[in-house]
Amino acid sequence: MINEDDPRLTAYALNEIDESEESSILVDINNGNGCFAHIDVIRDEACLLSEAFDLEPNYGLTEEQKNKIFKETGLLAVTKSGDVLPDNLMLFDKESSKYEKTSNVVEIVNNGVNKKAVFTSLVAAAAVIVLTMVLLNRRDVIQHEVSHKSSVNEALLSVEIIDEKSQSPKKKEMWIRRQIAANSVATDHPFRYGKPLINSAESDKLAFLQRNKFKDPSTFDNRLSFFSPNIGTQSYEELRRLILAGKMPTSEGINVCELINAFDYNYNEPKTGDVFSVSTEFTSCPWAPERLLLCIGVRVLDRGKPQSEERLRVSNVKMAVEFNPARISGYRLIGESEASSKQFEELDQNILLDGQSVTVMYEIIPEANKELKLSNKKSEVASIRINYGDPISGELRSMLSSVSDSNIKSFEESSDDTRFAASVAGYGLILKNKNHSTKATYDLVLELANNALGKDKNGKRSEFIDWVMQTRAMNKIK
Amino acid sequence: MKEIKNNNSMSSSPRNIDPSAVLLRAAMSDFEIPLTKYAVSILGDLEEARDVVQETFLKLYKQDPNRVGLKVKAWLFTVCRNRCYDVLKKNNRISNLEEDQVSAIPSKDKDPVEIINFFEGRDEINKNIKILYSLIEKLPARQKEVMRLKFQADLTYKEIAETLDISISNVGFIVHSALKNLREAMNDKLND
Repeated sequence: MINEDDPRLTAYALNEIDESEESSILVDINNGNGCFAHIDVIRDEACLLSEAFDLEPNYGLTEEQKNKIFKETGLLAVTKSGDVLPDNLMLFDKESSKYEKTSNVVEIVNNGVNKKAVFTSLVAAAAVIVLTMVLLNRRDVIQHEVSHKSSVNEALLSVEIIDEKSQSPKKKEMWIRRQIAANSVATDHPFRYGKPLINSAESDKLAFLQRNKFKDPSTFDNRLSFFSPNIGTQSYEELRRLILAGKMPTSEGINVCELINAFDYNYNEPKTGDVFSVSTEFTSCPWAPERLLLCIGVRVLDRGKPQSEERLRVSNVKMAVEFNPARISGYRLIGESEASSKQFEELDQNILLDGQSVTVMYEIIPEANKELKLSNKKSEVASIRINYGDPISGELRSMLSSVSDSNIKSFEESSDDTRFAASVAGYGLILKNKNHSTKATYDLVLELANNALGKDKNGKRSEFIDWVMQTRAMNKIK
Repeated sequence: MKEIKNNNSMSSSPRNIDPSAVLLRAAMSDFEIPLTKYAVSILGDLEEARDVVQETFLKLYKQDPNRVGLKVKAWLFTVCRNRCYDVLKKNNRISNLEEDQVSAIPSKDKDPVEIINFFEGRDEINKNIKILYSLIEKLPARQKEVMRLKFQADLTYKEIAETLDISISNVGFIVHSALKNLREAMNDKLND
């Protein structure tokens, strides 16, 4: 049994539990009542504490002192010259394929001089930092994408609800004050992964991300990604129209996100008492091996009422994903256009239908797990928060799901829903090929889709495969 | 230390970097500010704190990077802390001989409240955060230090345990108690 008075719960909330103990603690937590709510309380408090300490001025060494250190250690000379890393330096994660990537990096650093660098695990942490810094010192270098080590694990679905109804009035007020006070701008909930910066600090990385339409979650503007629970299917109709007319589909008029949502997926129903269920799958990206895909599916409670359309009188439904900048360099919502992202933030989503579901997919560039720079929630990659009003009582509620890095799967192991959605996403990316760098090909899309037909009760998935084949044929003729 | 020339252009013979220097550079980039803030919290004096931090970094340079590399953070905070307490002892500013109960007498009368006053003019700073800060200052010395290491310097329980030479479960208990204290104190404050 575990409850609020147990320091282990606090440790768990702060991600201080050893892997070996984690599963037994989780069992205890699942058996405990209201523990999940308290875990979120603790995490919010952790954010506030960081902010409180941030009130202090950022004391540091004087220039003179720094110069003295540089002089005594010869450091200044090192940073100015185009040095190569010594032969015996090796990155700690030997198994990941970023191994190859980094030797490319070293080549760039050497201005094209082809020198293979082998890294030792002994100076592991320092080496990762050094690479980042060496790159930062060179304005012409593109930030390399670091691949993430995949591990085989079952899907994560951790759903936690903060429900003020169960807390005393005192705590409720404090909670509300915190919600309002913690963040005075745009959002109405505190950031889980530390305060975002106003400007992105690393301009090389930023240039690369922007070129490829990725967003950097370390900045305020991009820490959160909003998406709408109501995504239309006009693009699907448009695609059908074009294909049947024998015309080549173009990126205008076809929004990939809408295409993805036009198909049916088998998300779990919400648990008893919940209004939403959030399903997430975090896998490797089939068309870009150094990237990852995060597929999120939200399903609305279906009350099974006889009326054909039951409206949930949600006041504001806001859905947002917060990405942890300590784990993620960049993300891109597939199918998001400039206009739509603004829309999502401002639009009050008033109407949700029973049993409705929405699917969004993100392409993600992971961040190297910097040993020296640990944040409070280092194992969380992202979290999804849904703010809404309870359909019956109208009370404001919030629901939080987190995605942990221990739940990354290989693409092949993910569900057919995710794999099919990915194939649709890949198709969309090909259509938009001019703007995005991607190795998606029609052949790949077909292969993915064919392997992800699932039950396909209405035949829509098979139909999609036909359309892709036709598109491919038309493309060859061009 | 190898001789290093300042040369920006492409060269046919790449020079070697001194791994100690590499480690030092990384450490300074990441920890200069958290270390200084931590030292200030112990010594109460910015100048003294800066000296200690400078010495700490110079000491780091002399270590074997292969041994220290993976535990740089804990190493830095441990050494910094020890040096701070050496300074305090030397100048007889420890009010109590037992380190874990210690509350340093600041060399000049710098009150933590001063820091809050520093921000009084800035409206956008949330009032509750300021209240929280003042409550942190009122925690017992050990709890205060652990909270600072955890939430300002971002050390893990393990690193804090090494820095303070106590057990990890002890750290966990202190954090848990401190959070509880703060939570209750905050509730009381908000109900005033």
